[in-house]
Amino acid sequence: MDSRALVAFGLIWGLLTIYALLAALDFGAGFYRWLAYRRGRDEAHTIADDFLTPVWEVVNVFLVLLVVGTIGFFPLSAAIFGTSLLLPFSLAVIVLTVRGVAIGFSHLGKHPSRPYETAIGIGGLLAPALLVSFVAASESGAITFDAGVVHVSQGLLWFSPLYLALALLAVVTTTHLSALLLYRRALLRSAAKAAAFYRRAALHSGLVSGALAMVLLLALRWVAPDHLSALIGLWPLLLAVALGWALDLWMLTHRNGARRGPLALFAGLSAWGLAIVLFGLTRLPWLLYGQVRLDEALTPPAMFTALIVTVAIGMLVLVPSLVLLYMVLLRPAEPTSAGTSAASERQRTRDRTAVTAGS
Amino acid sequence: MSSVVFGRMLMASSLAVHIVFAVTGIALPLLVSAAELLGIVRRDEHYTLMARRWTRTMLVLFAVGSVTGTIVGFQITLLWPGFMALAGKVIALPFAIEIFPFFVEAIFLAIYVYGWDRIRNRWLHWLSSLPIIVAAASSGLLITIVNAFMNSPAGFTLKNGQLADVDPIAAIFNPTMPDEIAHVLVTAYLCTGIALAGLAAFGLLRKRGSAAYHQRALRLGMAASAIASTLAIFTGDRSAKALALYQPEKLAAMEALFESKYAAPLTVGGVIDTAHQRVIGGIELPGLLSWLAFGRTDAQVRGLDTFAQSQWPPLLVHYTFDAMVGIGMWLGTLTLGFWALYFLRREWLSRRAFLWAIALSLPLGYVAMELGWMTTEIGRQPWIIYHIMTVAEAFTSAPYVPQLFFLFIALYAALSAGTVIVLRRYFRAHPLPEEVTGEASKAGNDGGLGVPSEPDTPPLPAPAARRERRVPDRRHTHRPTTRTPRKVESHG
Ligand code: HDD
Ligand code: HEM
Ligand code: HEM
Repeated sequence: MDSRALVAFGLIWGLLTIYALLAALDFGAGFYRWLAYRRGRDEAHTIADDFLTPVWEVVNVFLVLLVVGTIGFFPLSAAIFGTSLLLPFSLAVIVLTVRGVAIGFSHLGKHPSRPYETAIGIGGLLAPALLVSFVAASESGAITFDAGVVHVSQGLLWFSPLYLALALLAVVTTTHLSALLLYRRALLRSAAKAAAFYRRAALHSGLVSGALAMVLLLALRWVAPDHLSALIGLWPLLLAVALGWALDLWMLTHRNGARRGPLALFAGLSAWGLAIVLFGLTRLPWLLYGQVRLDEALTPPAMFTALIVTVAIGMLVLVPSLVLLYMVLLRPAEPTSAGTSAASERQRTRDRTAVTAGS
Repeated sequence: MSSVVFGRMLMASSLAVHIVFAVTGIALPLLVSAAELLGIVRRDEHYTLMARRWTRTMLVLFAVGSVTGTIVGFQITLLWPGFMALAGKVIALPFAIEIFPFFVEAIFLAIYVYGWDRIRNRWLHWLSSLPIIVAAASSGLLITIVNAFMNSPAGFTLKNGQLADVDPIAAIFNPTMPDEIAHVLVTAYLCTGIALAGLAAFGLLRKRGSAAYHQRALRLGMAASAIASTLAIFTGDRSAKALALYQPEKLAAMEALFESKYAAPLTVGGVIDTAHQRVIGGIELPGLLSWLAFGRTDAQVRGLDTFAQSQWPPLLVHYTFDAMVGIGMWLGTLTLGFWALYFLRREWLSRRAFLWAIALSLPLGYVAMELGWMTTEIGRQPWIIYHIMTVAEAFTSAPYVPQLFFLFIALYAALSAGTVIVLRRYFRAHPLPEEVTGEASKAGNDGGLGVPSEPDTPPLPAPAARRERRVPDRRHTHRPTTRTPRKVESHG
């Protein structure tokens, strides 16, 4: 495999993994914001909203970066996936728009209003299900590409077992990872009721996501057996994923959450991150499984170098800005001592309520 | 209607909606930053309040701008895979570079907006607006470079259909790039400046809220518009000169010039009679087109007769171009007239007639900007990349484009109406106080950001009490599935 194609694939799949985890937290936070609203749990609602509001646009840019990066490094993928995924991606982008606008508009009203919260909640479930069509379609045989002509079978695109399994897994994992994060943030704010709410949600979604991972392996055996055998070939790493998943759930069952919360989040994120990386590694060397190799779709050398330089320089700007965003907005009050954290928490709730209530 | 036409209309409507938010997204950060700076330097609360209220609008516009941008970002690949497969090899760099200004924009906007009360030092807070100005402008310009590449492709050669010696840098510095990005950047500030000035004029005419506030907003808007409109005319003229060299058929169509002519006249307006290849009722200004195109009244300008009729751009661009130039000239006279009167006969400025002239010009910047884009995009037809790839070749072979067109049109209608309604309702719920006191500059004043102690609502008690206040509201909203929150946490 041409080393450039390997580097490009590494960058793109790394970006896809980061985006998948961030999007899980973003979409999931939106889902729990809606769920908390429906159940009249204000604390849980505020905690989900606090995380969601400054984060969703940044995660949205990651999605755009993923699309632009894929087309930049593998221009042929524009022709293959642009043509075949018109429907799922158009629907995905409509869902993202309605959801984004709902988040933007919801802070202008006095109280959370049902249409906005529902759009944010349901959008958080639909978006992952639609976006994973890219990964499934490239393997499920829905797309055939011969002599530059793309054929797509809508039946396979939407109803291939691989897509259905992947979509279900994506949705449930989204709710699981975000529940872990919100559980930790609730603990840091010593919001007992919200912490209990998110811990229970994390536990249930964690169990279901484990089961669905098995279903996905079954679907892979049916649709792309050689991909599965490649995965089995890396069984030690698969074992690591299973262990991470088990550790994550075990941490959640413990009564004293304060110390266990962050560990559960770390275990969950790394387990599912590793799973996505493994899924990608075992796809090599194919862009479109069995039909188009990565180096056939690679961009000319001049553009490749230009893109690598751009990404490198870009990171110099991006990383400090992300750190600044975290420091100024996302750093939850550390539970240094009950007094101060309660006081700063009350101040932030007043800010938050004010911003959400638009007083 | 063929699927391609639906594809073109879908792309056009997505961009026409996105551009309104995009253009405001480019210019508003500078105006907000200027207002905040004036507020700090002159210790004038009106400007601080102005910055806070415009920030709230900027927040909403950016949210809609980024989601509509994401639609366009997806659609350019989903509708035109052929174009992106080639663009990916040659002009992918601006798309890649553009991502980082998007990040900086999204991050610093969050810091700026939610930092109003978290960053105590006002100078520090003002500084956080500078990256937004630079990032918003550069993301707009980078994408315009791609459009300039479509109008005047460079940085590659085609050897029997195959792409050869790709040079990404040369593709960025294509011939029409400098003029196009200049014209786009300048007109972005013009659209937003005249819109804010128009709003202020309405405020003064309707006497809604503090007159001192509206006068300052009017002056700030008109200052930006005066500079931007003169530059718009200058850069527009240079764009026309670039067209004469690099896209002669577009210029010929824009001027409805059917035969090549020396000392070609500039025909303003008039109705095009394509059958007889002439313009009825247009005002002919002799030699002016030659001067506009080549700086010499006797120069020869190529007419449509030198091009195969199948490759003529739709002659609609004659009307869109003239309307854009007309608006440009009007805005130029209006804004320069404002400042002339300001220094010579200031009392005329408060005349209702003059205020109405500014108020009614509110949308003209955006109208001219849409016309401008229609001129350059429809004027490039039938090419998607000038003389390299036609629109039909680039179009996707996928089905369902017509159905998606109607779905997106519904989305855009709801989105545009929704944005207007939400912003109006918000600013009606937070009216501009009659008298802007010293309180505006303190963090406590609501102004626009819904900070706690707005005079008419009691300061919010501790969170526990807050929960009671909120739950009853939901209960009386007759929600069938109201479930009173469980009082006892079984295993919290
Ligand atoms: C001259 C201005 C201009 C023009 C012609 C366009 N855009 Fe745009 N775009 C912007 C100016 C802009 C902006 C000002 O940079 C936005 C608006 C609000 C924002 O956040 O950035 C933006 C946002 C934006 C985003 C979302 C980024 C984010 O989340 O902030 C994407 C993906 C695009 N644009 C892509 C496009 C594409 C593919 C275009 C053409 C086909 C396009 N835009 C035309
Ligand atoms: C600056 C980046 C832009 C890019 C890369 C871009 C790209 C495109 C593409 C690929 C098409 C479809 C092919 C074609 O019809 O030529 C198109 C068409 C069109 N775009 Fe643009 N566009 C840009 C800016 C805009 C903006 C801001 C508008 C705002 C109104 C606009 C208005 C249109 C219209 C009206 C058409 C349809 C033209 C026709 O098919 O007759 N464009 N553009
Ligand atoms: C008053 C004199 C003006 C002249 C002579 C002029 C000229 C032009 C020309 C020749 C083009 C086509 C450039 C190309 O296709 O490459 C153009 C495009 C455009 N114009 Fe104007 N224009 C004027 C005023 C305005 C105003 C007032 C606005 C908006 C406020 C505006 C906004 C635009 C935009 C957005 C484009 C499309 C982007 C581009 O292609 O540059 N123009 N203008």
